[in-house]
Amino acid sequence: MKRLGHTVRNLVWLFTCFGSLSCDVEPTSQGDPGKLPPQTQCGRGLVVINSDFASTSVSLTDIDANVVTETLFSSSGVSTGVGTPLSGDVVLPSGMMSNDEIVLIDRFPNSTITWVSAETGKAIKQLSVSTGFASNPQDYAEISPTRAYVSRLEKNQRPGKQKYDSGSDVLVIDPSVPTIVDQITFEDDGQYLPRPARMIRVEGGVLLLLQRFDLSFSKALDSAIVLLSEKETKVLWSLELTGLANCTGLALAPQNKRIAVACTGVFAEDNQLARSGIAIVNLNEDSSVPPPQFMTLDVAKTLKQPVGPGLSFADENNLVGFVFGDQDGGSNDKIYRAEISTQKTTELSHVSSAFKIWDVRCTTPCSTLCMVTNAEKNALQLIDTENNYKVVRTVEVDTNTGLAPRVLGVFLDEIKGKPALISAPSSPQHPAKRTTSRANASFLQHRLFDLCHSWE
Amino acid sequence: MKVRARYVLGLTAFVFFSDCLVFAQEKSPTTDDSLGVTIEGSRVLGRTPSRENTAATTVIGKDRLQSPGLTGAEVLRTVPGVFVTDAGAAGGVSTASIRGATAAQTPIYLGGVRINDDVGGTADISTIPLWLVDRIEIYRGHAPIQADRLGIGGAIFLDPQVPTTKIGLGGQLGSFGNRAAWLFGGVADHQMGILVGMRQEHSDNDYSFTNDNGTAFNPTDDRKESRKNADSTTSDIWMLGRQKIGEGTQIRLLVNHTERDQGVPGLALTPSIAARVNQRREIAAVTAVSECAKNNSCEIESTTSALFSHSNYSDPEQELHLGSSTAHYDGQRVEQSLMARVLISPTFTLAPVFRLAHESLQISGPTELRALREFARMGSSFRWQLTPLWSVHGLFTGECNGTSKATASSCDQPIAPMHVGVQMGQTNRRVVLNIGRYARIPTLGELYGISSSTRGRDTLEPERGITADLGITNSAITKIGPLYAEIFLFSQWVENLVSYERSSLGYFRPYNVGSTRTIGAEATTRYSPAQWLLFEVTATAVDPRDTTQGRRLANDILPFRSRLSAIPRVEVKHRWANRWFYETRAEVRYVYQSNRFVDPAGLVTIPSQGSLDIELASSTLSGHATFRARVQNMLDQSRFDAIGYPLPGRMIFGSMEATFP
Repeated sequence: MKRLGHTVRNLVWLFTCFGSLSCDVEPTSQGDPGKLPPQTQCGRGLVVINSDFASTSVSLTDIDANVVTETLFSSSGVSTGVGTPLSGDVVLPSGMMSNDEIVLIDRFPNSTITWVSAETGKAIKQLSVSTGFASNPQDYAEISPTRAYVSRLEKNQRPGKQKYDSGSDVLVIDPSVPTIVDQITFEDDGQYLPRPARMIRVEGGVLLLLQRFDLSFSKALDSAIVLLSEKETKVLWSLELTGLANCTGLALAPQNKRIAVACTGVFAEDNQLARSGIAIVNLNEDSSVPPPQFMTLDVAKTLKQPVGPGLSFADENNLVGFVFGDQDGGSNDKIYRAEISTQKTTELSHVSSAFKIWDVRCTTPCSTLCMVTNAEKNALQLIDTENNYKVVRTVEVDTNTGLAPRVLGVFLDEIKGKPALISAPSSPQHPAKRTTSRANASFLQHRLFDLCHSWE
Repeated sequence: MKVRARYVLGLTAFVFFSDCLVFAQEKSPTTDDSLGVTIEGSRVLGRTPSRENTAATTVIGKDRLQSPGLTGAEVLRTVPGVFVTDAGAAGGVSTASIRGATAAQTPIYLGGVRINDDVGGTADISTIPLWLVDRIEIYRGHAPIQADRLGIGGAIFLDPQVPTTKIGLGGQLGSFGNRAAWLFGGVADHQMGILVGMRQEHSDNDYSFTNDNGTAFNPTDDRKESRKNADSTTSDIWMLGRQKIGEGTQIRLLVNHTERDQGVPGLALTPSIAARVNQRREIAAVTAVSECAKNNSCEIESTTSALFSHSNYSDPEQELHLGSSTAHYDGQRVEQSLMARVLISPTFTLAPVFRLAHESLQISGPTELRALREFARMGSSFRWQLTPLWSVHGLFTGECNGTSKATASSCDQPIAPMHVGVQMGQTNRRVVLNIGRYARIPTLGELYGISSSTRGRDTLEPERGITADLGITNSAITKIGPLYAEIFLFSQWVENLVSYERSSLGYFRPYNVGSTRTIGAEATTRYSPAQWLLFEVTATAVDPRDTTQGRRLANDILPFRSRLSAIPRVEVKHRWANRWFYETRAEVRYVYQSNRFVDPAGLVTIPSQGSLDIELASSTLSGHATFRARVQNMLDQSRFDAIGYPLPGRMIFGSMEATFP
């Protein structure tokens, strides 16, 4: 009877369509933005990018992953024929987003940075960082209201037609305009390109991952980390991650002196696992001095699957991340916990197919939760670090469009005139209290970025 | 619910019978004669399909295929139920699907040889050569027994011209650097005939479009740009032959070589500069038709065909992300079919068929791959004229498909497509009900293919579907002139639909996903108030839905299908019987498509769009010289079928052709 009802309904639609010539489809509406949650020391809440790789929506949750706005912003709109308002390949900055502005990095093909108001869900400003080619921006790191870095993965095969169009570089932009103001370039040997990827601010500079793939992404040198100066367009130091390739995930530990780098290895290589793992790098007190060495966690070899890019510190000693499954080999994506001191890796959960998990972000100590995007369940999976890292619940984020969550980020309240927000967490274990002694308000603002990002 | 159903039935009956009342004072309509001369009423009736006349069918004749600059995409866009996705001007990749099916579900045959499959590498209708095609038959509901793929998307047949004694040459100039020249010649008598022709066409395709720089929210950086690296040069050579051997046996020959060298322009936002592809396709087919009994009661048709296709990509700057700077795709299919038409009794006709085919696809460059497929089918169609008014027709087949990357097995995927139809009435006034069950084996490309953006999946299952349509056709010659009306209501259900998902590595992989249901209606009306004037309106309304269980997306309307398309057309055709003004034909049509989604989530739309096209042809010197002109998109409206691939605005083409005798 239900099927018959649908059939009759559709027949009625057909006659109406023919009769009135009004058969247009109506795009899914965005809905009204919810009231923004109050500021915490970890920011206001999470930004969730939902996508099926054809289109994208943006949702907001509070720091405990309670949904605030299902569809704050989306690809919804009429295409101009050249592109869509927002493509299906959108990521968020590794660091925190300030002033209640969501920064959307639209990678391919749009190559744009879009600032969206978390309060109204409207685009505030937009900047193309293509400079004439598919530059594929990867990350955005804001240093001050008038200075930010944008890393670009692709190299322009025919540069010289406009300013800053060489590619495989870091653009310096002035987000207040917004406009491109300068460029940081890197040496390449002709065969292997620098391929700048994710970035994160640390004391004294911006850490940048160089993937160092060749043109076809079939071969790669070992990846490297470089520290970029915040004020000048120069590299302060670099560290080659010997034995690790295709490094795409970057996380900062709560005390801001340790980073973890997730390396997937080269898919085209026969033994992909050989160069897949996690690098733990302890930064020097004086960050301008390069760290002497790094430690490798053999997560890939333990789980026999390549490490995925999503990675987050649950605390100073524990990481939560995921490994990629294999569509051909029958293995599935798995969520793991890696203990740095013991180098022990534990599988926490898994899905039933490959390439369904994309991102992980922990919000401890503001909560005890780590959020994992699970496209199979179309939901965030919440792992409780105080409950033996068990999956405690799932949260469907955007039921309005039904798009699956893929990428996570954190956004902040407006900073102007509110240095009190940069206060030490009440928890005695909270590592961020060390940052409260910093005098410079601007610096504090960005320390907060890093602090909260460290629980990504 | 019963009351509603009764209303629907009642409405249908009312439409049909009130139609009959309007046409109460009719004359018997006439049909095309063997020479194709138009006589009263036949233009209104339309042409009769040659393969199967109980399906929902559209036939496009030669006079509508010879306009300068016309592409297969533009022709098929005017057919009810057909959805075209065009990615550029001449040479740009175009696909066609019928009644909301996917493009891969709609096979296209040139001279009986399927040209848009895994062997060809793509379902690209831009490679259809129109200039020596006599007619196109589009089967919208179910494919006839002559098709080797009985998919849910019907079938499209392109029939080449029959060789006659003539010689001709012509040339064409058009917008955006379009130029073409052709030459053909043939000799024929009642015993034999041969026609040879060659043509070359080039287009720069450097049309302009508005580039928004990817910033839809920042109009200050929008700029006008020209499409780059979209040039295309196509050459094709034809040889068509026929030979009678003894009494009742005829051999037909088709040889076609098509070669295209073109740039691969990529997305408008991030155009490629140096990427190119060279595509070649060779087709050879020999058909022998022999009477096996007197009085035309038995006929056997044997066809041997071979198709070879080659695509060579050159991507020195790796703009296509193929994984290497060159890639080569070589496909081949060799096929043998045997079909008989047997008049068992004056009211019962049987057409058994046996078909064998061997296909292979070889890819080298980014990877080395060879895939094979063996195909065998036995089946039969029948037509049973129960009474002068009622007839039943059907098609039952059993197919084996053995597919592998190593040695193809004989029958690892058996399927049994079938359909049954009932017709009440004759061709010009009838009610038809068709129900069919179909299956489509994934193409070799879907199983094993590798391209810049896709990877095959060798575990794909066949798509299966059920279709049903109900058609009402009525025509009459009344006091106010000949009238024709046709409406088809259709519905399709597809299971294990092959769809694509993007992996986190950035490429798309096909997978079997749930089900779809499509319901729709197609209507065609023609009216000819004078012998030289024809009005036609075709319209399609379709409601394609994703009915997959457990589907997460809120939107269930399938993307890339306009829910309404309407094509009003006016044709003027007159033979002046004057040496200098011999015959004139003019056509004005407007192709309207309502808006459509481009993404499964139903967030992004392509706006509704249209194109006003004008064609003019005039022949002189007793028909030996013909001048043609065509304006496409006269109103210069912004059009596109796929994001990133804007279509050209107004285009003007002109051509001249001389033929003797």
